[in-house]
Amino acid sequence: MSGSMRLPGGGRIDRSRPLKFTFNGKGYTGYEGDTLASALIANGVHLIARSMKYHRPRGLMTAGSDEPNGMVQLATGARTEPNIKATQIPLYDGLVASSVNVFPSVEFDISAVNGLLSPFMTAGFYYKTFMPSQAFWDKVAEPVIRKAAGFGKAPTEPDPDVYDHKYVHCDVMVVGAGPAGLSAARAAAATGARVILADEQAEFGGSLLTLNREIDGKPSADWVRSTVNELAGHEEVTLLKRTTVAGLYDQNYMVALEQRIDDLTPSSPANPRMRVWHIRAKEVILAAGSHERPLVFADNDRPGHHAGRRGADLHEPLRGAAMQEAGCSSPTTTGPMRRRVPSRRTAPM
Amino acid sequence: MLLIDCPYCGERPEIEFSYGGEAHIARPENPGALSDKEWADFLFMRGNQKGAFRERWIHTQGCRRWFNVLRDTTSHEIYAVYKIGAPKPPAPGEKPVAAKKPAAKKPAALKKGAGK
Amino acid sequence: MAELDTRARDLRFSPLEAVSHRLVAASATDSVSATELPFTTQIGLRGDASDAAFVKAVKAAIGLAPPSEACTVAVKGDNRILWLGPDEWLVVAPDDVEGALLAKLEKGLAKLGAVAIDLTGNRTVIELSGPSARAVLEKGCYHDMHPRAFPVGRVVGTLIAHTQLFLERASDNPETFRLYVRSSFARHMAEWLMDAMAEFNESN
Ligand SMILES: [Zn+2]
Repeated sequence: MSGSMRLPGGGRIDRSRPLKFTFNGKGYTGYEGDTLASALIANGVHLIARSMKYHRPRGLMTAGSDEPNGMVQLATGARTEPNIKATQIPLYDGLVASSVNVFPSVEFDISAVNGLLSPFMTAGFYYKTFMPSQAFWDKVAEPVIRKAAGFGKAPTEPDPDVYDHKYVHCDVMVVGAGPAGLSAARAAAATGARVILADEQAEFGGSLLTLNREIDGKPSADWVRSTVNELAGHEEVTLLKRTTVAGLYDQNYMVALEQRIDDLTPSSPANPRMRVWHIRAKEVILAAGSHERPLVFADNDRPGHHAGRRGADLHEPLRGAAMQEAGCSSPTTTGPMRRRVPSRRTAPM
Repeated sequence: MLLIDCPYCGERPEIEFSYGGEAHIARPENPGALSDKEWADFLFMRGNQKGAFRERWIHTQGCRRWFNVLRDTTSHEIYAVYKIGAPKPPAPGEKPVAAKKPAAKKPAALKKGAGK
Repeated sequence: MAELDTRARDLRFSPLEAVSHRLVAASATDSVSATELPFTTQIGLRGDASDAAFVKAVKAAIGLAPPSEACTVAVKGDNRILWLGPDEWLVVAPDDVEGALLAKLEKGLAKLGAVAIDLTGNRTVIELSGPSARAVLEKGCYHDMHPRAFPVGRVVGTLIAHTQLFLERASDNPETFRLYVRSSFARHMAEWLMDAMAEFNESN
């Protein structure tokens, strides 16, 4: 059913630029602007992974870094990376990915038998139960458990890429470039402050990338464009796309990872593949938006269920498919925004 | 990583500093007069407070000067930084230290944790 | 004596002499360049900046008063005095094998509670210059080097690439930093700089 779930128009993809990719050994086609997740859904692939212990089938729940299920093994050989979220992988031509934690395949997984045995394997069930004798452990239990345990595979060849890091300082650090983050960055930049704006997506705009609203009398997409242009014109503003702020520590010290090359373009000292930013800010504005909590009901983890708002963003390419939305946040144009304490004080994280 | 306000150089990252343990532990004027227990108390026994704590730091990579820091050991909040010999700034909830306290005159008979 | 000095001058080598050609190659860009300023005379000063006699004696020898403001540099011609601590400075002056400057200082400070000690050779100086100089140092330095926080005339003792140094912003046009690095760490610092500069070298 390749491509059959795709809407004829709309969304953030360029339908004139098809991209070929492979998932679990099968070839598919997506488009420039897809994530691996949206391309898989458009191709009717919903079973992406298996759970850690009982190997229950798992599908995509969300559209971003809050994705709990859609972890894949990305690329092959020296560049392979385990446990990358399909919702955070921009599609590129020639992308190869596969499910993690499955044997022999995601559709038929031997360890799912554990699920049938689960009444006998209580939470916290310990693998050493499989040790009736040393010989049984060495020859049978350990090899089988090793195959079933763990998530993804570490590369065995040296990493061919170039990476970089740097230490920077600013007056205002804005995390998240949705409407709240963009407004905050613009207000700070107007005072001449040194501003860093980071967003994990490949484009600034956050929720406005999928919600079409009116801001200052303009369509929201125009507002995003003009605000980003204005920010780019400030000498003391640093704009970081594809950058995830991973931690906020004592006295506004932050660590962020910038993904600079997403495809197989070779990196070089002049063009490192990733850069770690160590940031010390006088003020921090968290405008990272909201993450939904899933509703609790039986089988809420099975493929086909997804979080309300974020899941809907992801499933935009779908046509006519029965979908189960289960979330507990209402769509908002402005995500929650929180201002951090001044630098001298420290809030425990 | 903490940001520490060196009283000589200003705010610098923690990596430039080294830690010197609890502050305000006066060396006994006449060590020979101490019993073994008193000497051991002086050498080893520390307040190990939870909360506001007076401690010594040295700006190893910068001006190479020792100074005192009043830091919360649970939240890492730094309440005050002061030079060696300067009056102690009060900890939160603590009364300001009276300026006219007799300085450790007598052979500081081991007031353990003088910083308390 | 003069003959001996001349011979000594011919025989000595600076800490980065062996990599100077590689520094030149790494600097083949408009963005940033690194060069060693070898054989500067360096004298450590300890004294009391509030003692007029001490300040007068230093001024008489070097033409500069030791700066009393923390983390500042006093510059006059080719001589500079770096603030290192509240009672500690580093005098940096042109090559002076004969030690005339030190002798002059020692004489002036003889009767004061102050000390001048020859530290020539303890550190060498690397000058990093160009529009990307700050971006190069940001790869290994926690100190805020933005001109608003670290203007010309400032010096700090800090770490770059895990190595202690004194870092001075010497000029804004073009942006120029001086790195006073211990001689035994100079090779490491040069190798680190060349690696950090690679991003800005178009041939990479
Ligand atoms: Zn200092």
